[in-house]
Amino acid sequence: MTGVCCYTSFTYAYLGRARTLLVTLREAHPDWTVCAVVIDEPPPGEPNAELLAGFDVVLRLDDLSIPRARAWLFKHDIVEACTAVKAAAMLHLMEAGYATIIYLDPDIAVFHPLDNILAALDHAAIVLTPHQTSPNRNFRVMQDNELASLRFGAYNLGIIAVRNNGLGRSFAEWWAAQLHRACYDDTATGLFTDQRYIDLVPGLFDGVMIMRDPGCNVASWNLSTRRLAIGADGGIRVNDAPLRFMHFTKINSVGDVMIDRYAGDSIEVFELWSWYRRQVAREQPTTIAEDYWHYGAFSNGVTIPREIRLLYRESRDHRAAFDNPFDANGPFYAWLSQVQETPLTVDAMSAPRSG
Amino acid sequence: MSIALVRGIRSTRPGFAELMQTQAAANADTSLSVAAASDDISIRAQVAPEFDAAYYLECNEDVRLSSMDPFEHFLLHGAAELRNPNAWFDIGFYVRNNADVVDADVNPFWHYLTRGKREGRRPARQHQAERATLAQARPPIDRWVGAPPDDAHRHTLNTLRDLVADQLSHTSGLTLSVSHDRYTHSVGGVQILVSDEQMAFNRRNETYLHIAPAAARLMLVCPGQAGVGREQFLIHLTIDGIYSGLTSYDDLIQVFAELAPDMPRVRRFVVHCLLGHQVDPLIVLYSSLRLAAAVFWINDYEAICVGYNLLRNNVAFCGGPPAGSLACRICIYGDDRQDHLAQLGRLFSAVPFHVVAPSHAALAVWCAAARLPHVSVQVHEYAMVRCTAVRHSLIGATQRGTPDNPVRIAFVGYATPNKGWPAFAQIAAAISGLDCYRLFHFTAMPTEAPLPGVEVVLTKVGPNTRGAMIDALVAASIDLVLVLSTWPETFCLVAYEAVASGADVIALPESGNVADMVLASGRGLVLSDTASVVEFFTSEAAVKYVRMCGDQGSPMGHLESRGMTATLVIPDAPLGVAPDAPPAMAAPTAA
Repeated sequence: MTGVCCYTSFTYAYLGRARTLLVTLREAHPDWTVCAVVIDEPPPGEPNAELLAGFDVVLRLDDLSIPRARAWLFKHDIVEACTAVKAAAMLHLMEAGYATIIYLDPDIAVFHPLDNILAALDHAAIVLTPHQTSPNRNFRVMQDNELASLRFGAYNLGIIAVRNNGLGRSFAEWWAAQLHRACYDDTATGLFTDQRYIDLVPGLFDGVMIMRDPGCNVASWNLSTRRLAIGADGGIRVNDAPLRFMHFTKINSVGDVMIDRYAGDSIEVFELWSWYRRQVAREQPTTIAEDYWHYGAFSNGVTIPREIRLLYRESRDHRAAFDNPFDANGPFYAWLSQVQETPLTVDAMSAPRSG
Repeated sequence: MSIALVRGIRSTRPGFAELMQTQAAANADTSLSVAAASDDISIRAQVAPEFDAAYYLECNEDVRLSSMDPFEHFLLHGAAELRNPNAWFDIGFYVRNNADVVDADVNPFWHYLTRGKREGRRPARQHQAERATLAQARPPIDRWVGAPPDDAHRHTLNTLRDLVADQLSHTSGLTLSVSHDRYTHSVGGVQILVSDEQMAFNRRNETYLHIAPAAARLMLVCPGQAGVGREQFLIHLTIDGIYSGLTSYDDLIQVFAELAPDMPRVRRFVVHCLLGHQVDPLIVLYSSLRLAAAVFWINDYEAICVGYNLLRNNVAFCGGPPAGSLACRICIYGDDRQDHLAQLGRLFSAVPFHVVAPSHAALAVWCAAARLPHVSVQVHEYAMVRCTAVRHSLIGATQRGTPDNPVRIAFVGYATPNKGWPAFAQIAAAISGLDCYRLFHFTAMPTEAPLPGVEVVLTKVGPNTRGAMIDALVAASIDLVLVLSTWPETFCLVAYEAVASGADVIALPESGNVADMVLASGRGLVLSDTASVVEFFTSEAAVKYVRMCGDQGSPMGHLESRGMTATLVIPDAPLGVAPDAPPAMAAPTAA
């Protein structure tokens, strides 16, 4: 087994982000294989090959050996779907023979090379990055950060790096089983997509390395303790360590508020934020709407409300009876049309989609 | 105020945070409503010291026109309507970022003073001005800045040949000067300097032929580049300060070739600014003059980056890191810098340049960051202040800083971020309630968003009105000019004009030659940051400083050009001509 494969999972609405990751990753590691896991179908008239040019490997839902893939996918909203396939894709890439597999979220950009991650995998099988690596003293800041980690997971799954050895495969198989069973945004039951499971990993598996390098996974949830600076040499540093990668979570929404709150007096954070916006705008095809997701709608274009996904997810009978619930000409849609108080029209079904 | 009142010093001042730590935090019941809060005597007492009535009235015309007390209005209506109580508390920002304050339904300003500050909450968005600049920042390729005038005369090859031949028939020297615009038609530092240079040569009966791109751009231009049309091959021609019309690089090259035998012995090729030009025709033009060397002026830092102020993303001085660095990757100039430097590399490889900086500060930046071949480097200042009088307590300096006789503070020049306009705006807001100050903005054209409480004085400096700014500053009896540039100014005529008018200059440490001039001349203060400048004024230390200046007296006079290239001395390497041509550079004249 040789080589490093870095993969990311996204839909076409996030193509600009994923392409930004691709471009920055290529700068830092031109020799890595970069894989796109695309849980989407392109809008009519948009050729897949052009949209995904530059990625070395493209995996789609049907490549991931998921039984009854459409029925399984229907249970997930867009964020759940993109995270639920991460472990299956990791197993697929292990089967393909890569020695090291690194997952990065599409809204990450790489700056300095990730050599420290690779070095860590010389001795460890799994590398995780905690949301916070130094404590906040102010309770209000804790509420936004540490207490949020208690709900959503201590480790940020924007990155996970795994060695393709016995320990690594053992972990990946366990993780894939959990995500296949339940990868849901359901903090009431102790789940948050793929992330809460990982809190168990340091206890369940040997060979886990907790990466506390302040230059890794810099994001709104740890900016309160990380100081970003750009030197005369043109390097970008965080608490005196090279900025390896930054996670631009929820840009244009709550991420902006958090940056406002925790960037401190660092204009450099805002420069990076501003650069990322420009970069994504440049890389995102203007022909793809920002809320586009092929699997966000039935085959006739009617948006799938979250409550119908939940209905399907929670009913074993429904799941057993309806093999392709996306099909607007199929029995599930027909049944829904009969039982719904409100007719299934585009207007009636256009509730905002989660994620 | 702990600042030492000594002119021409670098001062370390406490920051804005310390300034804010004046209001004791107190526990408060956040269940109080706005209305209830307004009735609570202790809450009034807590809010009142930080409420700026003058600022509130300035910003709220309806309150100003009503008979209502501004503080009462704020407590009863303004807070709920998200009207700011002073210049430093952004009530809308506070509410947007603190949902619990909204839920508690309390006066947000009172919440901040009594709890939020202690809890580390922010009173306003950080870097408001810089973030506004960031939001507007665009790569230079997206910023077309001008097209040739429709009615400009277009020379034919014949009319151009006749024109140049006529000039050459009665001149003792020829300088071909290159800059980014028609220096006789626009107002600015480089334009004034080029004009000074032209007049210096004309006084020696030498011809000054100036070219500028017909379509102004903020970057070098290549054939085939996106957006480059036919007009980009046209250039403006100005001869001895008189605009002659449009021609092309190719026609000028051909005319120079045809008239080579008639060229005067003394010839020069001088570059002041390359933006908007094409490198290859400039190399051919230089060759057609058959010179041994040329002059390149560091009027800005275009030789280091297409972002010629070296302000990364227009907000932070970068020093010109290696092209391709991460800093360049995230900068709006980064994408164009590599190509820009490649073109400059071609020019500097083909043309042996003597590089001239107007200040040691500019030279230091060049030496640290420029990677271009050159023959020599030296400092040659643009101008000097020739003092002819002393400004002494002209209007009762000891009483300066009273409502009847306020300290006069000025911002001079265009209201741009790189010249410190956002910092000036911050200061203007902070001292809007203090009647010991009066604020002015001296500019050639009005700003789109004039600052409340700042008097605009339209003043245009041109070739024939070189002293206009000094005269205007003297007429308004300006005491202090704020030059709050956050990058190393190569020279900054404004700072010298301020001193020539008898005013002192307030500068920041990173302002290059401005800070150097202040420290060397003892005519002003270099304060550590904008917050320190704000405090210098809000604490009224500025009043004491101006009174001290009045007592000590301030030399004043006029600005004297040092002649630019006309007085340049090139040690051991005269700007001669190529071996097969007669000598080109006249004996240098000492400054």
